[in-house]
Order: sequence, then C-alpha cells, then structure tokens
Amino acid sequence: MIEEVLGKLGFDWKVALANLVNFLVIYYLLRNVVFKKLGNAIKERQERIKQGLDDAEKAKQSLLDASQRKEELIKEAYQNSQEIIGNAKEERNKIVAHASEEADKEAAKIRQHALHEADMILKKADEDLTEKAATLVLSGVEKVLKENMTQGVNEKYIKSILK
Amino acid sequence: MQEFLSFKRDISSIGPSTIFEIGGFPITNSTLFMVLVTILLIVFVVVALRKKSLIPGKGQAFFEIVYEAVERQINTITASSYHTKRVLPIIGSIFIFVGISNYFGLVPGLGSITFDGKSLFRIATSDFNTTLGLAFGAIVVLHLVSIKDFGLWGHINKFIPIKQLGEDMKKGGLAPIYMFVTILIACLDIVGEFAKAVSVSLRLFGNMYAGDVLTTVLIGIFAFLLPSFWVAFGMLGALVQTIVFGSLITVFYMQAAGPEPGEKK
Amino acid sequence: METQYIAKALIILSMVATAPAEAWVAAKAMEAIGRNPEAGDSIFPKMIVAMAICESTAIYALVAFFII
Repeated sequence: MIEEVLGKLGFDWKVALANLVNFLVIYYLLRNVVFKKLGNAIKERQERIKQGLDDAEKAKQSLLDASQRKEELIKEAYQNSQEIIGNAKEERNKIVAHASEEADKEAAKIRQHALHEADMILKKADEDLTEKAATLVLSGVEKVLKENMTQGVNEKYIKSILK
Repeated sequence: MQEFLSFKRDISSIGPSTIFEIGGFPITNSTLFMVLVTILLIVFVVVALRKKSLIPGKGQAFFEIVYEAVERQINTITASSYHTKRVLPIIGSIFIFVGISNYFGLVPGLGSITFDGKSLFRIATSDFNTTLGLAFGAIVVLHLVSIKDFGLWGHINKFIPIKQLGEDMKKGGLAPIYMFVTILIACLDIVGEFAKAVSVSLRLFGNMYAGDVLTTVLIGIFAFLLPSFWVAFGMLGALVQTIVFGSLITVFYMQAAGPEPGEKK
Repeated sequence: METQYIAKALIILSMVATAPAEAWVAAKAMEAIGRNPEAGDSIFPKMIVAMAICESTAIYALVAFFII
C-alpha cells in the first residue's frame, strides 16, 4: 500500500538508491576537497591574521616600553648631569677655596720673607753705618789728635765723644 | 494571437523517466542530472581550488563565502562549535547539492534537451526519489550518530524505554495501562522517524515540483511577462528550500546527538 | 472523473489556512526582531524553519493533489 502511494509520486527504490549513491559521490568530493581543504585554509588564515594582530599589539607594546625607557633614560641622564654639575660646582668651590688659602699662605710666607730680608738689609745697613761712623770718628779723632791738641780741647773732645 | 502569446506544454510527469538501464538498475533523467552536477562540481572545484592559497582567488573566495554561510547557518541551530564541526561536511554537502539542484531549475531550456522523446535532464530535487533517498540516508546517518553517542542499548531505550517497562512490570495496580501507553508512544516514535524523512523529502520535492508545474502552467497562460515574476520568486524559493532542508536535517541531528563530548545525558 | 476534480478542489481548500499561519509566524518574528535587532541573525533562520513546518500542511495537500 505504501509502495502504491509512493509509486504514484514516481518512487522506485532502485532509482532512489542510485540517486543516493550519486549524492555520496558528491559528498566525498566535497568533504575531501572543499570542507577539509578550505576549512584548513580558512583556519590557517584566521590564525595568521590573529598572529599578525598579536604581533602588532606586541610591537606597539614594545614601542611604548621603548619610549618609556627612553624617557626614563633621559630623566636619569638629566639627574646624573645635575648631580655631576653639582659635584663640579662643589669641587670648584673647594679648589678655589684651597687655592686662595694656598695663595694666602704663600703670600704670607713671601711677605714674611720679604720683611725678614728687609730687616736683614736694615740691620746690615745699620752695622755698616756704625762701622763707617766709628771709622769716621776714629779718623776724625786721629786728625784732631794730629793737629794741635791741647789739654782743654782734648778734654772737650773726649767729653763730647763720651757723651 | 492566443497561440502566439502562450505555449501549451505537457506538465512534466510526477516521476522521472527512465532513459536506459544498467543491469536492472534504471538510469533516469534525474540520475543523469546528478552525474552532470557531479562533473560540473569536479571541474569547478578543481579549477577553483587547484592551488590553495592564503590570499584567495575568485574561485576560492566564492567557495569560502559558501562555506562560511553554511557554517553560520548550521551554527545558529546547533549553537556549539563542536557539533558544527562534526556535521559540517555532510550537512554542508547537502546544502551545496540541494542548492545547486534548486538553482539549476531556473536555467531555461535544460528540460528541453530531449532524447527519445524524454527530456534528458530533470532537476534532481524535483524528483521524489532523490529527496527521499537523501532524507532517508541522512536519517540513517543520524541513527548511527545516536548509536555512537549513546551506545546501542541507550539508542534503543530512546525509542522503547525497556528499562522503564521492566520497572513498571514489577509494580501492580495501574502499571499495565502505563506500559500500554508507553509502548504506543514508542510505536509512534518509530513511525515518526520514518515520517521525518518522508515529510522533509516531500516538502522539498513538493516545492520544487510545484515550481516546475507552475512555470509550465504560467507559460501556458501568458508566456512573456507573467513567468518572470514567478522565476524571480523561484530564486528566493530555491534558497529558502535549501536552507529549510539543511536546517531540518540539522535539527534532527541535534535531537539524535549526545549533548557534548564527555557529558552524559 | 468528476469526483476526482471535486476531491482536488477540496484538497486545495486545505491550503487556505497555511497563508495566515505563515503570516503569523513572520509577523511574530518581525516583532521580535524589531524589539531586539541584534537577535535578527539568529531569529531569521528559525523563522524560516518554522514557516517551512507550517507549510508542510500545504505540501501534503499538494502531494495528495497530485496523487489523486
């Protein structure tokens, strides 16, 4: 009865089987070529795209890191330079202070030396003068003595000399 | 005037016509059409996918569009990438084959190639043999899937709950009535499995054959402007019937298959 | 022969309810999409399937029409 009804729709199980087998051929073709191959290709491409995006993200991140690091380095360098400048200033001050002190000392020494020298010269001049004066006196005395030496005069001279 | 504007043709017979026989197996015009489709597919696939590349050419891009459309369509029903991946090859093939067949119905003059007074090609989906064969094959595959997922015992229990019947037998009272109802429902379920295949295949066959008949009738009434509207509607109908056939098979799959790998229902 | 035509006419009558049924499904689906446009992609295929199932009555009638 079922066959009769289906037969009115043109059903014949042999034809149906033949058509099903035909479909299976199409199925194997599509499964092996289109769905496997194409699916893999699409997957691969998606992975590539994902990887590319990841890489881009990574590159961006590293760029950010690098710029941050650059800024840090600049900051550090600035700090270092400030420190160095500070140190240099200090050093300079120290050196200048040291030098002026040294110079003062030297100057003092030189002055002392000069004073000493001057004293020596003065003393020598004094001695010379005394010697010369004594000689002069002696020669004067001799002269006087050579001339007419009287008692009174003599006494007067002696007194004046002794004074 | 009337004869000039309209072409009266015989409405094509409801069944396919046998062209020749090979060892008792009749080769009908719908079978020949499927062979034609297969050859065209082979040529097209070989040309388009000769060299698979990361940057798709025109042919590969076309196949990729089809592939992704089918995948999306299946995924809206299964809502799980595991199931989609599992059924994509077979249901995708059904989609592609039914779609190609339906769209060939719009090719003018294909039925006019005749041999021995019979047209040499008949749209495969407007032949009940093809649709029932396809649906029946799909149902058999789904039963195999169900057996694989639940085991043979679990699969049989899905239709005839033997375990529950055994429990009911021990009880007294109203238990025989429940048992009777359960067996009745089991019979209904088993008939329902056949009804599924018949209903799905009848739907596709009915739509495509009715489209064919209606085109013939419209050309018989007024051959020039009127059928173009129907052909335009037929383009939509061909797509819709493809989607419906594939989607219903997917729905049946979801009823048959286990929930998820590893889980127990 | 004439009873066959009467039977065919009656079978065609059975298709009458299909149009309102499909219209109902489509209207409800459109309402749902209008309320929640993001779900349109997932509603549309389900609508198509539901409409196909509504259509089966008409298809059975059509088949019966050809069988008789």
